[in-house]
Amino acid sequence: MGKIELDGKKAFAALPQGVSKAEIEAERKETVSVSISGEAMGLNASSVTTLYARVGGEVSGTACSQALGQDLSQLLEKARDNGRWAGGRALPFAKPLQKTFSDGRRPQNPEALRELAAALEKAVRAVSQGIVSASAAVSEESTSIRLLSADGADLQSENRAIVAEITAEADWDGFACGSELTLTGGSPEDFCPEKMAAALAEQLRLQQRPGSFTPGSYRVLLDQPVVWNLMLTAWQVFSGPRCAAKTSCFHQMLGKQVGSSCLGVADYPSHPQTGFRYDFDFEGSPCQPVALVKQGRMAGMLHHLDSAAAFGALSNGRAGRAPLLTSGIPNAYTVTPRIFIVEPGQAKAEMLPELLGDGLRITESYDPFHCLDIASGHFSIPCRGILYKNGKPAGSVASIAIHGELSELFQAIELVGDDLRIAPFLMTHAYCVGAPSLLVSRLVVSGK
Amino acid sequence: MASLSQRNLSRILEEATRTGGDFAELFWEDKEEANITWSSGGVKSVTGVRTVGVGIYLLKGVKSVYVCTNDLALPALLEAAKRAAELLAAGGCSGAGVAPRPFQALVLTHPNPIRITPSAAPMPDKIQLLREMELGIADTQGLRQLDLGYFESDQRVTVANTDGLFAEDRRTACRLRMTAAMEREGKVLSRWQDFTRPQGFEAFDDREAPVAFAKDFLGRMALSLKAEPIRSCTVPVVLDAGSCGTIWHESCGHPLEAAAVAAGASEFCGRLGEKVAADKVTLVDDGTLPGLYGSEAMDDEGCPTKRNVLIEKGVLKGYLCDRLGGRKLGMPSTGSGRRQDYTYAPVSRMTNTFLAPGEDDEEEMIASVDEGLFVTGCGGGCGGREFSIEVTEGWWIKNGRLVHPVSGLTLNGRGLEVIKLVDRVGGKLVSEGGGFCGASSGLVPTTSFQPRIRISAMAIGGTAGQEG
Repeated sequence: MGKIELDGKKAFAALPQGVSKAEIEAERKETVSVSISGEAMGLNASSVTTLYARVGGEVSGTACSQALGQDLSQLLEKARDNGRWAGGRALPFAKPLQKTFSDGRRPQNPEALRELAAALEKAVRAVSQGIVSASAAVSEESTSIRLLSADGADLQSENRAIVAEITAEADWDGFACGSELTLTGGSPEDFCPEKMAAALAEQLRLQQRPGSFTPGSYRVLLDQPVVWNLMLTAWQVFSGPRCAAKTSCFHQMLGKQVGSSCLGVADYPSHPQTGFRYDFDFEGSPCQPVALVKQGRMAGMLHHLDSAAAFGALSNGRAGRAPLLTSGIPNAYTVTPRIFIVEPGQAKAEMLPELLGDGLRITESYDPFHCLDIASGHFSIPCRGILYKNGKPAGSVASIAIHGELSELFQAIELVGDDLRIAPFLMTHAYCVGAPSLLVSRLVVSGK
Repeated sequence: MASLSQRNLSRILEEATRTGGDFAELFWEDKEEANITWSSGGVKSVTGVRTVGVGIYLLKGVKSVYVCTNDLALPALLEAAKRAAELLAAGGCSGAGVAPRPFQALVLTHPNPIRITPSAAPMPDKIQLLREMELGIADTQGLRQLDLGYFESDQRVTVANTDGLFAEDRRTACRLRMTAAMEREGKVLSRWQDFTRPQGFEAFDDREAPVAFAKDFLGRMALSLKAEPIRSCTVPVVLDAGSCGTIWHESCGHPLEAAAVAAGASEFCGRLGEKVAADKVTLVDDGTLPGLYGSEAMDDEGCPTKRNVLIEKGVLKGYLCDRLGGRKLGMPSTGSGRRQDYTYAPVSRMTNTFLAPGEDDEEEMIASVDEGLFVTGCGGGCGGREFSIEVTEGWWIKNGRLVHPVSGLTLNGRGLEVIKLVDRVGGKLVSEGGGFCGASSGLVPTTSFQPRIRISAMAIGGTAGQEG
């Protein structure tokens, strides 16, 4: 990887007509991955560099391209031309900074990744006799960013993260089930194959042939993967632009109680439990730690320059780009979290099922993308789980769903587990989400 | 792929196979996309995105290597091919690989021919579309927020492989996206919907169609805001013709993809020729259908798309295979190797998945239900052993009549159980605009549709009477 060679001098020296501010950002993503499943092995390597341009002045606009070797002046002109149609809406530009960030990590030899993948797959196969198929994938994801502006900004960052994913299919006396687990770290040494395999085996063990279920209101333990799935989209309730547009159910809740006093939610630029790190956003604003909920009270929002201005605040460096439909190049101006987590609590996770007493433990949920309405906070999440009596398992249930409002769920949290687990967003790995288990006093559950 | 001669193409493939690869492929993509966003009476942004790059795919038995880059200079492409060969060697392969055969161009007829290239249409015409949409719904009650988006996508792909295949395809589409937040009596709902056409700008020849779409979308939202809660129960569920066919995509489509079958993650594993569904179920995936969003002349491995019968009269007939998935299952490709772009290796994916029409009376399906659910709109969902679908619109049925709207529910269940409970299939097959399916090779355009059907019993999640 290494420093991105990007020379903006010529382009910045003769800005297109009508343009007085200009930025060019180059983002290079390099990935090496190895996946193993029995005899089948897949090895991938990618290196993709994308150029983004933003211009301001009489005209404000953006453009991006993967056509390398393109004259940067042309890219600025394209941004200007796009902006001509946008009715003169000004784009914000941050104070120009010069800084270089690097995590100092060295690139991994593909052999080290292959060895880890093989060790993970072997550990999964060995962890339980009921496992009928296993696979492991390990990838090293390197991101290099350089942002230059006509005003003199020169920001650079380099980050390498390792992502390990294991999956298994099991057969429990004719009942087939499957599960997966993803973790991230800074190097292959951060992963313990046996521990990961044991965690996956526990997820599989919790899936048994389901029995009947009586719908109703239950005391509920939401296992860590279930909370993680919910938070995958729920972060949007803290989006500054959504709060400004009143399309978040938390839009008037800043400073108010949105959850029980044991709830803490935050978004970090880095975290010891993940190898990913985010130093600045594409507007050039430093990415700051943001407390979103402190002791149940909403304490902050995720802002880019525009949304921060709407609240008389400063950007906390969350400018992000959302994909334009199928484009592999995200380019729609928005905010995105970086490492969004529900803060872990003091409760020992292994004690939570016992503390549940009589109730329902939700062990797995499906479809994180269509189950939560950010504007109303209403959710209806398909899932499966285990009924508990006196803190002991009393039968599996499947094809059930939990329902409610996000704020009601947050208010009903009694205990927060100490089992925080952080994993990158599905497929794109554009940001990370972390969550522990939650013991909730009451939740409506449907099913048969 | 004008900058690369067939001779150099052969050199790249030869370089890739030098450590024992038995097959190599080069996938070249050049995609232009444009987007206009409209909010509060004006254009908010105009953006253009150009995606250009190459993927080199190398196979040796069931071992695979995929290397991609957007450095398109010949030395960089040869370097990428060398990297692929080295990775294959690192995976334990060695020896001489297959030599590329001379190329033969594959001549294809595209199911979705284009009349007006979107980038050639004047920008003011595109903006006017959005203006007309907003004006057409200006008097909508309770509209809290409205964002409109215009998208165009023009993708050119070339696939060349060591079997001597040289094939090119062009996929063009236009889309309007409407995102709205609506409020009624303190209840707020946010939702989005797309007006999708696998066409050029001629998609908007009928200027009334986008406005009618917008009005219909908001009318449905208003209806959802009047929805009443229902109790959790197990009742017959009627799913209307058209996009409610999502149920087939989630309950059967994903588990019938080779990737799921080969991983042992599908309940359809090893059941070819067996009865897996009700007699009335004939399920087809067909990427050749003209005018549909999931149609393409060829898949992303250069294999012409085809009609694949997956289930026939309840009997499992086939899986959806890409080249590698087919190797793992010992089956040929079904023209189902698809990917979002050159950064993904191809994986077996659906195209247009539909339930073949039956002969049952559509009105009787509702009239014969004492108490049940009539689903008229589905959002997204997810598939696997357990599937789920978001019900965005529907009606509660009592004594054979629709009594009140319902919304915000999910239908979930085990696919193999649910498809055995289909007891009515109507005669009128209705297609849909289409959307994106997300899986391990990214987002690909698909449709899923059906005639009106009935499932004799499904558990419905509801909250009425459970607040205490």
